[in-house]
Amino acid sequence: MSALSLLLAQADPSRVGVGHIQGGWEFVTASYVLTLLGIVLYATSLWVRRRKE
Amino acid sequence: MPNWLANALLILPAGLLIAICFKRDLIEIGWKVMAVQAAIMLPVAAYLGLVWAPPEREMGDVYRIIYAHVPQVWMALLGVTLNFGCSLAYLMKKSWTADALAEASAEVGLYFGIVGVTLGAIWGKPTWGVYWTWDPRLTSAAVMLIYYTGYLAMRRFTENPDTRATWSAALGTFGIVIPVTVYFSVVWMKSLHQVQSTPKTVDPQMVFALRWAACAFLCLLITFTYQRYKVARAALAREVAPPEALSGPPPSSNDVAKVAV
Repeated sequence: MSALSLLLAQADPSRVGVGHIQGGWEFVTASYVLTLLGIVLYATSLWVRRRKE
Repeated sequence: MPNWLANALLILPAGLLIAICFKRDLIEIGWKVMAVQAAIMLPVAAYLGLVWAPPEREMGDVYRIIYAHVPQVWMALLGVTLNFGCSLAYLMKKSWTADALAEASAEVGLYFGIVGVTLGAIWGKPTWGVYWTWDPRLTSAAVMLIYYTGYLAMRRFTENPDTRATWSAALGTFGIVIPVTVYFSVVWMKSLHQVQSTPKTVDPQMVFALRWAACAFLCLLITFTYQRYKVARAALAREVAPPEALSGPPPSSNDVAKVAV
């Protein structure tokens, strides 16, 4: 990247950070869905094994 | 919402566990109470974490993963610590109860560990830029998962119940080094992972939401561990029962309990 394009990038407000992470809800959703899925799957596995015994 | 409420809810499962130590009959009612408490508290924990708690100053809304990630890693550490206690108890008293509980706590601890570490990796991507890095906290957590997978695999492949119980108790006793290392790795070594926060430096709403979630997962840990313990006890009863007991009519549940002790 040349010095000019670097300067232009800095001048572009859309490329200047705001100092904190924005968005990221897809990661939050993935985490909560995975937690729910884990609970359901493990509870089911325990239920199936208890029925077998 | 006051913090005493979250503290009181945390004391309830702990108090119940102590009561069960003195009066074993309480266990059948106790696990049901824990299951109901978990079923009520978990959706509320999700609401508190996703909606009610304020966004974090630097991580914005991404930090909300904390309410699912941290309690589950705590439960994993609690599970493997329980495994250590039961392993030690087996070596001292040769009790089948301790052996079955050691097996149950290792599996439940491993389950929470796998989910907790995966959630940590998901959190790592937006905050660190990578899903995984060989940081001391992450590496020690990975070692813990491998160790307890090996522990459960060893139990599966050892046929003699007595040998299996002794070997796994020995392995479980040494295994305590790992959760201790996981917990203190951020203090002892330079780590990308943040050190433990204290309630003094965190917004009270965040503290409350985290305590609530911890309590919900503690109830779930107790429910899962007890159910897994019952599976292990039933398998042990089948293995250690004399052959003539197996050829007769099916025993009542009281007989199975007597044989397994």
